[in-house]
Amino acid sequence: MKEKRFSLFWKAAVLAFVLMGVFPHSRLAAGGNSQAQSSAQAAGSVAGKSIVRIGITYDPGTLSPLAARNGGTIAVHRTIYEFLIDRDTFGGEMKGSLMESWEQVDDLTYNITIYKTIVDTAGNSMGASDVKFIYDTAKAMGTLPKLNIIDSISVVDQHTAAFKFKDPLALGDLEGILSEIPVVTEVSYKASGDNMATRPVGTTAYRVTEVVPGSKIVLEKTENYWQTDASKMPLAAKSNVDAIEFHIIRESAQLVIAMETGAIDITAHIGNARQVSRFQSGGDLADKFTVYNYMNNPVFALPFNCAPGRPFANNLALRQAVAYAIDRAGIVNGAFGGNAVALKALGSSKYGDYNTSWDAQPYYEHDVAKAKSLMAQAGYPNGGLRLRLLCPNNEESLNMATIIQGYLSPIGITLEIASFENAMFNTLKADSSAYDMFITTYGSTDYIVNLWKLGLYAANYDGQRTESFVVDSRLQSLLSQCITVAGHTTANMNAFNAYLNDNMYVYGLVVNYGFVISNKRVTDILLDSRNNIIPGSCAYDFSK
Amino acid sequence: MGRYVLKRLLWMLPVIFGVAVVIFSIMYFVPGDPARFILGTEASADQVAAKRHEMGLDDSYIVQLGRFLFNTFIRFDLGTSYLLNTPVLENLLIRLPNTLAIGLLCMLLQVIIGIPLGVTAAVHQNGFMDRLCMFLALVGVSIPSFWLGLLLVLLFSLKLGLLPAYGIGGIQHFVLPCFANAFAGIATQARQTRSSMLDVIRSDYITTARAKGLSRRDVIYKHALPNALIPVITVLGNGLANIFGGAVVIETVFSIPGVGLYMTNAIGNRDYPVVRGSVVLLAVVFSLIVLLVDLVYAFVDPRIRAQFEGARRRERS
Repeated sequence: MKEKRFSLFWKAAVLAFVLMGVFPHSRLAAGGNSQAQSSAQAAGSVAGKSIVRIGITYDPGTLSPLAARNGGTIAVHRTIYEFLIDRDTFGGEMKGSLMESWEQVDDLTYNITIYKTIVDTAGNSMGASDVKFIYDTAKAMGTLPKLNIIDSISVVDQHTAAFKFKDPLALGDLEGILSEIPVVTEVSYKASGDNMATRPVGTTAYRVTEVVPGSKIVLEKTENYWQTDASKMPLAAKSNVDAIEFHIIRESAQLVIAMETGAIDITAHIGNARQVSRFQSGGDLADKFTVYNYMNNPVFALPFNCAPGRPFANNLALRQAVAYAIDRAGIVNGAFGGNAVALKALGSSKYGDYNTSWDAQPYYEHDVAKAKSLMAQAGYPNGGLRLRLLCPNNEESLNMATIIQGYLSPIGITLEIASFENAMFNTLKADSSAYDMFITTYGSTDYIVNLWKLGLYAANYDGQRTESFVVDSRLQSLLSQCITVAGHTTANMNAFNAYLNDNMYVYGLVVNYGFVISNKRVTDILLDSRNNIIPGSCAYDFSK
Repeated sequence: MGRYVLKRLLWMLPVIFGVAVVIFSIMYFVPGDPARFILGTEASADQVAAKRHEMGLDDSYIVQLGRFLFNTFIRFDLGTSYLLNTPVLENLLIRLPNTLAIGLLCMLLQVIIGIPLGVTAAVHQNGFMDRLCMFLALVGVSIPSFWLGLLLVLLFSLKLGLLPAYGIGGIQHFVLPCFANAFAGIATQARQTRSSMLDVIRSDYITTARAKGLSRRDVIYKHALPNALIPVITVLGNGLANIFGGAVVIETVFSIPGVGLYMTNAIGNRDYPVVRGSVVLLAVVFSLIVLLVDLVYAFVDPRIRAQFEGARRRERS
């Protein structure tokens, strides 16, 4: 009997030992919760330190400053790293962050001077050679096509780097380049051993103290942020909280639960209208949370495939018939629960160069009779046309596709919906035989002309056609005028917009709202140009 | 026994080699361009072509396959993630413990809950306990794991505040995910155990054991259960695929950074090195666990152990 008990004891001991060995993170993850989130943690402060917990649904995968951009990296990068320039608000004026001043030397060359007192969180000073290093390294990696317009970067003096471009810059190009990648010191980058994938060293007021890959990123405020002149700090450089935790929560239902249990304080990644409505006025959680909404940058659009031989090619009446048949108000309510706005152009009023006079102009308002008349003009008096709509397989696009299918049926169009995951969707867009129209999003972080460029600028494709195979030299000529600094005038913008609307190559559908949900301890929020929360710059009241 | 283990380990090599060839071929022929994905829609066709050349994607199938097999089996290098630019093996080794933890704990739950449940049902055949156990088993095989997971979170995290809803940390973070993933397996194990026990209980040697005056406990656990375990172990081994496959869903629901989630993201992003590396690594892990399960046969059944040892003696003579 004694032997049996002894044997059982050893078996239990071995099992316990194995289980301990299988859970390495129980020892390593100092920030891991040892119990369900308690009210003490939810109070937002631990041992006198203020902490804010941000819920994000995307895993950065790597914290390297040169990582290919994904939802996770753009959610956390601005808290870890600084860029040469930054904007205080979407579309707002660019403000120097690491850059103190700039000077245009000639048509192709710009001298960028950085502050002389920049020090990273590892204590290394930053100079112009670091700027050259990081941009050269990024260019060599080849994952950021925007950098291809740079011809070379040279060091002028200890704090000045000269950026030489291959061609004269278009509108927004300089700002885009200077805010494209974070700048870090070469010595810290090389010392990390892994391109700063898990050991990032930036220049913000926060340093990364813990990374649990795929789960959590913890940052703590440093006491020696290099920028001591508050008047020169962009809004994104503030440090209103002692510690920041990014919690990666993949499932949106779990994000809602995390907000309810107090495991996180704020999130911008609950996009489902039904879930958001619980936090809004009239919802069961409304009294404990605040919902901020913002208009998203990308707009939903419906480009028509105008490749030779396709139904929409050289058939303006058919394109217009489809546009008139669709009720964008129906999409706003049906697909977005009212949390969207119908467009009046290819773009939204969020962009500073959007002309608000376009809102007063007619833009293919829903008219079934007119649509039918145009169908007859297009050569389909009795309907009987079968079309294929390509869309990504996310909830919003699928809902929109279903609604559009319903709107086209009364005018005699049978719409087949072909939805694919992103990689396949992007591949099929380049195949003109695979679809007749597709649902997509176009957006930019600054100007509406850069939004237009995404789908309509032939230089981005084969030099002749747009994304949806439109070959129209006049369209290209009008767009080319708008995208230059000198040509970015109201008259040129109006001309392009009018031409695009008249020819209906792309139908602007809707722009939806995004939401930031926070508990009452967050009293104000700051979002960057991609609508990601900048936690250090939000305002808090931890007494609540 | 040692030679048997060595033989099985050697047989693993062609299996894993085959898996590597198959997964490479699948990813090669799946449509979708990783270069386009990395560069984004703004990149021109020339830029995409240059990137494909840099990534070696414009080489022929045989060249790419040869390069992949050489790197994997000779240099033990699973490559670098296209998107993250980080070594695949390093990331997998960080994530593997989480997936293994879920998988092994699920197996453990299936054994410690499913088998006793099945034994109870068999011993009380057609009684209340039998019907209750089988009802629970039916519910278990019917409920999807992700749905059950969310229900458990609502109850234990949101309402009762007893367990964390997501993430990793101590063992308490694995309770809900493992239970949600194991529930269907527990049900299957219970049903299989019940069926095997019912077959064994009717055997002559069980009648003899009872006739000898052995206690009921001894009859069930010393004589009946060991003989009933062979098919149960088989089901446990076969259930491994469900466990590790289900781990992908569970990792997403509970935000556990494991291999499944890593691989799933990579499939959508056409991150070929990550997908290939994950599948090869999981194949290795899977093969080892199946080997362990097979060795358990020998542990449980002395006849099988004798077969292994008998084969060795025959070889010697």
